[in-house]
Amino acid sequence: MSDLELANRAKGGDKAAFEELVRLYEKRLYYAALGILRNESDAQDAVQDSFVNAYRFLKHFKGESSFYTWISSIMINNCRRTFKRKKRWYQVLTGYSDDKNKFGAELVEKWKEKDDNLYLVGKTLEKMDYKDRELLYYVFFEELQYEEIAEILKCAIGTVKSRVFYSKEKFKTAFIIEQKHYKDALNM
Amino acid sequence: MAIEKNNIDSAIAAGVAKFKELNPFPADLHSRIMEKLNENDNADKAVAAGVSKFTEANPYPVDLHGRIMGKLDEKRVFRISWPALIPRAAVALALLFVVIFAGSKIIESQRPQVNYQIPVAVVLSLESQAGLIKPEKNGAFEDSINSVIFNMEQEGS
Repeated sequence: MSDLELANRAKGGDKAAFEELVRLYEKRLYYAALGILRNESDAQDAVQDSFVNAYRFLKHFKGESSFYTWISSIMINNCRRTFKRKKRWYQVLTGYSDDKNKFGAELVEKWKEKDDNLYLVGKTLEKMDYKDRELLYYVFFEELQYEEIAEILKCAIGTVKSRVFYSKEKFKTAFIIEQKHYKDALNM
Repeated sequence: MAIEKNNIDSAIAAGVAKFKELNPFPADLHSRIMEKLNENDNADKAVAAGVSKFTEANPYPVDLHGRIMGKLDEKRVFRISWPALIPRAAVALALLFVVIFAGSKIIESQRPQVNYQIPVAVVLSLESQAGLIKPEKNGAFEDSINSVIFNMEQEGS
């Protein structure tokens, strides 16, 4: 059964149809939220709220885009809200306004024990702006097309193309530097 | 003109030759370019390798599906479908009618019985005597007044 058929049945109150949609996309959404927010409980909350919101606004899903891109745009908004809230609290508690390096450091440190390259990717993403991180997740981890990214992030394809180009350049430069530092630290 | 053009061309060629002579190709440039390309290539490979380990390094929380479905139930977002709603609506309507019917009966039984005929008959007869109602134009009225007065007299006796 297609996503649209499942969504139409769910609109009529079929809980099982909606549960099937949850089962199909919960993992992808969770990993996207985790990649962007880099915090397990925040990612779980973002996914959970995204499905609740998706069900409430299911009548707006007309099947013009895939269900995944539609629900991802809902999830992106939830992640942005979470990030803003955490940033505000962080500023209140510490008086420190830089948002790049502070969130998700614990998770990235855990990756160090599991895989060097993953750790370096995580460390480099920490150096990026929040919006670049969103974009780079979909580029590197999901390998989505520009059209799909544009639909999720709600911006023009041309904007996505130029942003992807500059973000990738920035990321790669930062990654090479990070790699050198890491190797130097290992050799010391 | 042709001689002049030849002179210009040879001057340019001589200039170019001198430029190359004065600025020899850096011996290490090729290796530097290749090193940079390799570095870039290695970075791409390392990123791809790191990305491929992402899901493996972060196991999916087993209880998340249950949490999502639980939240949906808790928030009562699952609406009742129309077919399921029809019998419930019928029962609710029937109950509503029963309540309205019983209520109206109770109110009726509580209301005091008033005979409105007496004051109306009195007013009409007074008006008739005062000449406000003309018998020739209001024969029906006259009849009804008479019958009411007759009834009153009967009840009174």
